[in-house]
Amino acid sequence: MSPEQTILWPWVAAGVIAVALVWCVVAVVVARRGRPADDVVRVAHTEHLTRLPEVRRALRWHRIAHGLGALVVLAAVVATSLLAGRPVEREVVAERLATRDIVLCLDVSGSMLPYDAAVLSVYAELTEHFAGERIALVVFDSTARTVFPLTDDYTLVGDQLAAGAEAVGIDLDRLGDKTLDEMSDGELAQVQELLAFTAGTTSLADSSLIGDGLATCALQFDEQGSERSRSILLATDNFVGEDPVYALGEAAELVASRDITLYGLYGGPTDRVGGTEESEYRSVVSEHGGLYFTLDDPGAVDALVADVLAQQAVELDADAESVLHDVPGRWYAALLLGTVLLIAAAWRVRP
Amino acid sequence: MPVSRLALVRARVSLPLTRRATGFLAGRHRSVLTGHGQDFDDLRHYEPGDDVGDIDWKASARAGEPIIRRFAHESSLTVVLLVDTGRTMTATAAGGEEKSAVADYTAAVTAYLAASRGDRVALLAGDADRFVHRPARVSAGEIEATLRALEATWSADAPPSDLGVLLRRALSTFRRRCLVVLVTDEAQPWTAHERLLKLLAVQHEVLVVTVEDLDPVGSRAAELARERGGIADVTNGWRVPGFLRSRRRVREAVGRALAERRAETEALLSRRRLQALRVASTDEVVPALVDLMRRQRRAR
Repeated sequence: MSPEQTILWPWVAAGVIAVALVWCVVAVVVARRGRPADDVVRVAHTEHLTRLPEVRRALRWHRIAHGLGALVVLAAVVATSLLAGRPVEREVVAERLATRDIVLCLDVSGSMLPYDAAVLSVYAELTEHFAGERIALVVFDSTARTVFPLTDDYTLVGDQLAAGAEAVGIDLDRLGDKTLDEMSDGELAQVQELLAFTAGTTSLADSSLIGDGLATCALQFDEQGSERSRSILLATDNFVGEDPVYALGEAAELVASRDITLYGLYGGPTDRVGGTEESEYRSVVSEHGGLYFTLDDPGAVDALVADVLAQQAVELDADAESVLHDVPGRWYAALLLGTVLLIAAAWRVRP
Repeated sequence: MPVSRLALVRARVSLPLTRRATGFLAGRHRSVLTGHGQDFDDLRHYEPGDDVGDIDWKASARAGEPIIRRFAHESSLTVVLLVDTGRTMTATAAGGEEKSAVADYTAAVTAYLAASRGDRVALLAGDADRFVHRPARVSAGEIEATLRALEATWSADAPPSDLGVLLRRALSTFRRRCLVVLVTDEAQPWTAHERLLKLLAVQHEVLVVTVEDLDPVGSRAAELARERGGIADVTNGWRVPGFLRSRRRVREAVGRALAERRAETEALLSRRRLQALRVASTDEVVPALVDLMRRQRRAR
């Protein structure tokens, strides 16, 4: 919606003009009273004076200067009144901001780590296509951690996704064989980053509890009372550890029962595509009508964006929020210019 | 209690100026007060304008050219105060007083000098609508009343001046040779009245006293304007804007225009053999009169 310029407090503007008018009247009255007409030096034969071209020219210039001065005063008063009335740009912000929620659900179990950087870059690419949707990131292994909850702060989203990609981009093949003592400071810092990113996702007993992770993601959605488009974009290789509370299918049921669309992104090694885990993952996602992609699918991002945006964004019954920006710019300039001109005129043009 | 105007003049004129005032009177008597009378005074060459009846034919025959016989003035002469009382005369004079005050004082000085010589003083004052005529009187009380009558004529909302009417009245009222003292201001349309002035000068001895106007853009006007609420024209109420006083070119142009007008007026008056006197304030009246007499004495 295009911004619209208005005066926020027109009565203040009117008040300033009224005050200016009253001031004018008072000034005229005082000038009249303070200088009675009879207390003047009376002279005669000024017709000889006004007949002189020099005098006529001086009078004409004086009149023009006074006219201009009056115009400048008028402009300055108008500018003052408008400034006092607070000129604003009213921008009505569309409320589709919060009408779609997307939880990015990322498996950071050991089997997925080599692929998570690629997944995160897909996520980052995805968020660039959104404007106003709320996005959350949840990472899970045996337990889940919310990296950031549902938010429309895209700067934060971008920063967090980039930081995550850097953390998981660690060269595990090279570092895996080293002990901590053998590592350089840089490498130690990398390990530190990875541990920080995946912190809170491991419990002692288990790993790779994908169903549990998905179920946790399903609980990320707030605003349960309102009709919203909710989606989960799950990225996993479906290598499940032992004994999850929720099997993947059960978790998908839970997701579906909460009216959440589940999108699947297979992040495992490509040679396992078509294997048992991959097939189960694909069938579970497809069962509930969600889109399913593998990581190397070039059309994945576009198809996901199109599908999410195709979901009816439900208008919240909350009032459309109007954002006001003060735009004093040109009135302020006019007032400044007027004041400078007035000072110049007062200095140059005497009564 | 009103102070006698004559007394005021006497206090101011007689003491320090006794000698010069005597000279003034002497000058007057020679120039104006000679004429018809019983006591023979002198003989002189006839000049155009002299009464043909005064020609001494025997003496003329002896000399081979017209000679007239003059007699000392036996009885008193009439001094006519011919005063313009138009509205512009109530404006400010160049010295800062009202022009009417200067005119009053001029009339009073003239009347005093006349009275001290035993002359009669008449008043003819007027403007476009009004007219005041006080016939010639010789007693100090009557002259005082005449001066009071003149003083009472001034009014800030008086009608405009009309010099033509005044001059015609003077011509029709006074047939015998008088000393006519015309008191008015500088800015009269003198050329328009040139014919009347010429007639007046032929019939009477005429002294024109002009009261200088305050220059509205001059420094004196600036001082006065600071003390009071500004400067305004008496005729149309136009407020003379103060910024004009701060413009050098305007001041110079006004000064030039005034000098031109003065030169023109003086040329006209001297062409018509009218004695002219310009005063800016009451202080200037007596010295100006004395100065005039001195010049006149030399001329004759």
